[in-house]
Amino acid sequence: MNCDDARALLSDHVDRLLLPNEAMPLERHLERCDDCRHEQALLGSLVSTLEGLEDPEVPDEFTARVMAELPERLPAQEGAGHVLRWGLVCAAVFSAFVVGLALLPKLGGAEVARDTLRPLGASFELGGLLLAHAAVAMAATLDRAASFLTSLSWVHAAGFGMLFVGANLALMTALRRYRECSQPAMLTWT
Amino acid sequence: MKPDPALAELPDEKVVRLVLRGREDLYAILVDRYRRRIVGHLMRYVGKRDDALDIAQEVFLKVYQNLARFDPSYRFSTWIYSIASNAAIDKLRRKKVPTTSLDQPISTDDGEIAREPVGPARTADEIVGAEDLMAEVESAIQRLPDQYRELILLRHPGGRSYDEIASITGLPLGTVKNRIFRARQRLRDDLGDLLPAGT
Repeated sequence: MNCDDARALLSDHVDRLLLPNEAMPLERHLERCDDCRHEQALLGSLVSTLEGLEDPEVPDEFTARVMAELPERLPAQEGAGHVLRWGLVCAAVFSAFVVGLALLPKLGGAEVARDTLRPLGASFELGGLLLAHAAVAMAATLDRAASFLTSLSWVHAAGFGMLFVGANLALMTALRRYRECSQPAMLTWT
Repeated sequence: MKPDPALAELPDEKVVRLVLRGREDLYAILVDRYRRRIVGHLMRYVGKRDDALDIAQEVFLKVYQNLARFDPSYRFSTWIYSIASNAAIDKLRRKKVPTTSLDQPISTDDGEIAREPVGPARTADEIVGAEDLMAEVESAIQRLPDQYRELILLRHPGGRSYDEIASITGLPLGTVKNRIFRARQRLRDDLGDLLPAGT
């Protein structure tokens, strides 16, 4: 290795970025070259001097000034991310609505709905309307949930996902047992 | 009002999450944590403490306004330095601060003449104290071309990795390494014998 080759590697050497097969020839060169060794010492000195640069004192009032300037509410996510999040929320609500309608009679929910709504003179349309209103309320909740989920790390999100799946499985099992025990009559909406 | 000291110990990303979940007051933790580093970083860009304080305030407001866009898979420090660096570059562009290299000759009606530093150059003997040396280093950084100064300031102080600097600037890793190498060479040439070679 000549001096030019050695000097091209000195910066990386000071940063300890060289692989052993690059560092060893350089170190052998430094052992016998006073000029390159001096250059390495200067570079090391420059780096430690730069690392020693101190940041100026900034008074506490600075933080107070920044906090006073903040808008009252944190601006909502905008742009593509915002559209995507709302798209996901709408899709989730729509899916929940459809799945709910499909499962309700099978899970005995039709009977429950009939018992509670019929005395009020309620109809299938009113039931649907109530479900739609519930879906809108759920959308608002899901929006908050989506905001929470997007702020999670991957590990936490994975844990949360497993918890969500587990809770759903437990709920489905409980409902199935309830249906088997009560054996409700299968009713259809009229 | 100061936030709960236990909360002040939380990692940046957790504080961000809490702020996004409605604890806007906890943003003060992040401002407290980064204000010195960001003002120092900006001061070395723009040269004046007052300018650095003004830009830092804009940076913290911008960070807050875009907090919902923060990608938690990155480090918060990477993100805030990225915003601070861009703000400093914008400020320099708006002010059109001349940052011509000292190596570049001055064009005159009589042709080109070499630049000479204003005032007598200081020798190693004149620069005796650590504070003097630091002031010389700060001046040498100011004299670096923008593209080198940006990267050397992201590298030192703080020792950010080349990968992180590449993320902040959006430059390829090879370009980052090359520019930091060149910046160090320039600083070494500029500071010459002022640097203690024995450390």
